[in-house]
Amino acid sequence: MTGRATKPIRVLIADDQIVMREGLKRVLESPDDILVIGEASVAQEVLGKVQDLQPDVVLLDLLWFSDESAGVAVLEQLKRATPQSKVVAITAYDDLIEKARRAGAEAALPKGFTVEELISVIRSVHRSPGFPAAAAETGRLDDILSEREMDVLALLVEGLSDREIGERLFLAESTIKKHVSNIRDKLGATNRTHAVSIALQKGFLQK
Amino acid sequence: MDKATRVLIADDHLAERQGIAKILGSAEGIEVAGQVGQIDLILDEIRRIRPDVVLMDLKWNEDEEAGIKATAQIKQLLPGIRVVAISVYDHLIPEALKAGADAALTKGFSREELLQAIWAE
Repeated sequence: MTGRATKPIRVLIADDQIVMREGLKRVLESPDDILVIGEASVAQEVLGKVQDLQPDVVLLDLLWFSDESAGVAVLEQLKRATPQSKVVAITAYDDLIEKARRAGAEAALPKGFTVEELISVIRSVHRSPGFPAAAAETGRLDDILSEREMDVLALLVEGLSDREIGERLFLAESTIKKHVSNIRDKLGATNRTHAVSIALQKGFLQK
Repeated sequence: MDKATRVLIADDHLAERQGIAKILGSAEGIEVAGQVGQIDLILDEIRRIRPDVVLMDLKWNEDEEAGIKATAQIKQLLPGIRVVAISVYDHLIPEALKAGADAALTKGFSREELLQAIWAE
């Protein structure tokens, strides 16, 4: 035998529907390396529970009592306040999945998932190293971003468009778009303006 | 004592099927007789299992009419079976009732509401 027993992945289930909560719990009973440590059934209690219980992974439903924005709003809160907990967004709606990714979910699952898919997503987000938004909270910008991304960010802060940034750096607009999207992801920003505001909050100009 | 009410859960989402099964597992007088996750297998499963009640999800793989059509089919071919329609979408509920569903629930239902819909006359 090598190594010590690994600790189970601690999971919090956040869903307004009892059916989904019970179903997820039941599905997650079988793997030994996953432990459901709590659940939240109203959007307002998710943040508090995550802060109290500090789960490794939050399974977050995006649609709460027919409110499509509730889940994404909770997700943004979590990414700011408890970035060490990784979030798997669950929803029946494809357009919400895209929004969840942009808001910083580490993974998103459409509701038609299989047991295997659910378990493997939980394991893989848990394993995934270097949580970008966490780094964004605590780390220095130049630890988080590559040199080239720092160049792009400097011009983003000036308010230039992707095309203009490309012209300044002698790079294709498509390359800039890719850099901007990486910057956004690494900073846990929802869009480019948000990325700029995070950069400014972190004292980008005084660097 | 009466026989347990036998329930078939018809829903394309695994977690929802499991959730309903778990909720009903602890209810006295109810037996989860089967689960079906594919719309085209529902009738076969009903004939095989002979449930008293079918819990019918209305939207199947993006198809909003699938559950309503299946409800109509069941009520036409096997009218003695009670169909409880389940949906996240309020707008599908009246259609399901028109198609013959005996009761309908929106997905935020509680355990009590589910049990009531299964039993209610």
